Amino acid sequence: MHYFSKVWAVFSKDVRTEIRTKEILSAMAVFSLLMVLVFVFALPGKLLDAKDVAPGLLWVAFTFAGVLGLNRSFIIEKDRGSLEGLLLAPVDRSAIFLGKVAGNFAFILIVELLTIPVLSLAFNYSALNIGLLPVILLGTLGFAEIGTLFAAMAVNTRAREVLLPVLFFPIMLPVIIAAAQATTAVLANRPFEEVSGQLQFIGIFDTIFFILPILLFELVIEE
Amino acid sequence: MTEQDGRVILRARKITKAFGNFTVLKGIDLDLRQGEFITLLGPNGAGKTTLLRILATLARPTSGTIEIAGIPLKEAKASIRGLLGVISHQTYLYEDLTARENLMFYGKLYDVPDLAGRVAEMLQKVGLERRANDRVRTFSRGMQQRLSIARAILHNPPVLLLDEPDTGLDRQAAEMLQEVIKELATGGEPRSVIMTTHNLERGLAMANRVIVLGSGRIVRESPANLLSAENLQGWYYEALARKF
Amino acid sequence: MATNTNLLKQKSIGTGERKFSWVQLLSWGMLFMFPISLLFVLISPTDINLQYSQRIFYFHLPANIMCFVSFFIYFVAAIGYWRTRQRRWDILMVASLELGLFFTFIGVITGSIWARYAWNTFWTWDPRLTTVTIMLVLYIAGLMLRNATEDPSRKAALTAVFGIIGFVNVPIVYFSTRWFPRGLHPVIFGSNGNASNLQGFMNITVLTCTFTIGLLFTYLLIQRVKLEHMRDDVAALQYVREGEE
Repeated sequence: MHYFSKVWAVFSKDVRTEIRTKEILSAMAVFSLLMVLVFVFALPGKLLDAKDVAPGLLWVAFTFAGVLGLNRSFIIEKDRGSLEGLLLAPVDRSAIFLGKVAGNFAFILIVELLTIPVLSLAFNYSALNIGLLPVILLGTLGFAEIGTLFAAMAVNTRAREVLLPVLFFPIMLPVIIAAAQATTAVLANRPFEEVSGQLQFIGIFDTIFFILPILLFELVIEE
Repeated sequence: MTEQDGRVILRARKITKAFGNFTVLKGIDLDLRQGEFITLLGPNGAGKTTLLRILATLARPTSGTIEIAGIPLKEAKASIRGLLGVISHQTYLYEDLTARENLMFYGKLYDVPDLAGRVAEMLQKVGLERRANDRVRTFSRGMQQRLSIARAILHNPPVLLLDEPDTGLDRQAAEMLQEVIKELATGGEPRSVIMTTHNLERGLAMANRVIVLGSGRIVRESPANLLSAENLQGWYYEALARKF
Repeated sequence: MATNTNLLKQKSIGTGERKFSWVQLLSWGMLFMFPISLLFVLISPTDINLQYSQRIFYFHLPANIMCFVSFFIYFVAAIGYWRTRQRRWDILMVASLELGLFFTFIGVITGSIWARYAWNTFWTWDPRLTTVTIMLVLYIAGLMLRNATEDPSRKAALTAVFGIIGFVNVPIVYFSTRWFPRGLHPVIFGSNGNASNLQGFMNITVLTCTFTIGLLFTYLLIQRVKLEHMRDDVAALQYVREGEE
């Protein structure tokens, strides 16, 4: 419990800062809205029949917007020097990692929940389906775990903004494949058995990349 | 000050740090005793900051051992960092949180008992109690640095590591900082301090012991009371001339 | 510096001493094995369906085996670095990462030529191809990460983290591709009566070629590791000289 109070401290600090500056959320939200617009203009032929493309587009928008936010979450800490302040604290460094994961998870999730109705409106195709929630929750958790780890890695390199997506996408592809498939099935009102495989798969992915970064985080931030 | 028989609180042995083939530190031995104030001097690139970062556990030495309060760092848990307080020219503060929120946040990470009271006490100590609920963003550089001192001593650490704390401060702020640090080192319970600085006079005035680093080695070492600013200046140039 | 005088002693070239060296053994081995493998490739029976084009397979399969071996070595070296923080593990990481990319590339190109003749297409998103492609992109990203990092110890640390995460991810990628439309890739050593099942001398040829490419791989790996050591030495000497000036 002691450990989780530290995780909570980092998380609530991030949330409080974000509520004040809205730096990460506004960037992600505007970006994902713009992506939806781009989709509309790039795929005018699909406006009447969106069921083939909408699930895929949804996850494309999530991924790109997510990367944007993940990048900021560590660049802010690094540029203001506070990352070292965190590392100096007598806290197991994985707790810092988990706190950041929780924050990023929350921010990405908020943007996703905003994007879904907008995309539904734009394509006149309802993606508002409560059955989508487990897919989105699990998929976003995977995003946050891998993304936070890689953001912490990329922040110490040259060209950090560019590097994060390059590292992030290939690792996330399995989740994107499975999540897009599951989304298609859910939106087509298929029975739950058809998505349970994908959900399990994403769950396994989330578990593996929950444990590994905790083990490796010390190595990521060390000098 | 009886630093000769004081307990060694921080012991570094044969510390080296290499970045690839570029060796920054070439075997540093250092004992910090309880209540002692060491000033680390040396030209840019001598390895002062690297040494301090290693002692602060921010960087890992390539070889060598460090003991804090008798516990080797390699075997120590994360909680050992609670014995250290670090002040550098970076403030480690969150600009969009208020002064109080910053201290509350770090206090939680450091498990400070009676946090709210301690935070109020610290804010008063560094003269920021009236600005406690303002965002750090609105603070001047000097105020930020004072808050960062409060941040560093919030958990009452027995060891303070100061890395060029006066960088970027105007004269007045630097003098104020000097007062605060002096009070920290001497007032109340004995605290051990290692400070790096470029300001020879100020460094000498505050120290019990002066160590001059040059190219990753300890070039000179002396109790401060046997030194004058002039011969320290001489040592400094000696270190500067030294390539190895 | 002590290391540098050692270095100079070590490099007493031209003293006429001949010592047993693995690199030389490998060179001779390759000199011997390459013609034999080529000969085997030429004289092995022609595939009924694929005719001559099937022979590229004798390079395709070994290259792919080597790329997996290489990334596995990278993975092991990454764990080694994680546990010990030693430069030699770091060197092994770079060497195996670069070599793995090289062989993946060869595997993808030969595979795509094969596909052109076997399936009339250069590309298909079948599970194995997809996996290898994602793996290629993934490890290119890893190399970019390494090159974008300045501080050498951080460079090694990040390479190690990526080596572990990346390798763990490969089976996950493979697993996820089953949600793709079924592919055309033949199951080579399977027993499903596929046209490209290998028989008799074809098997011997594959094994010979794998062995030969394996020699090449080992040779390149050793040389790459040596090169990195030499770079270290040069940098150390340069550093000493700069100090003396």
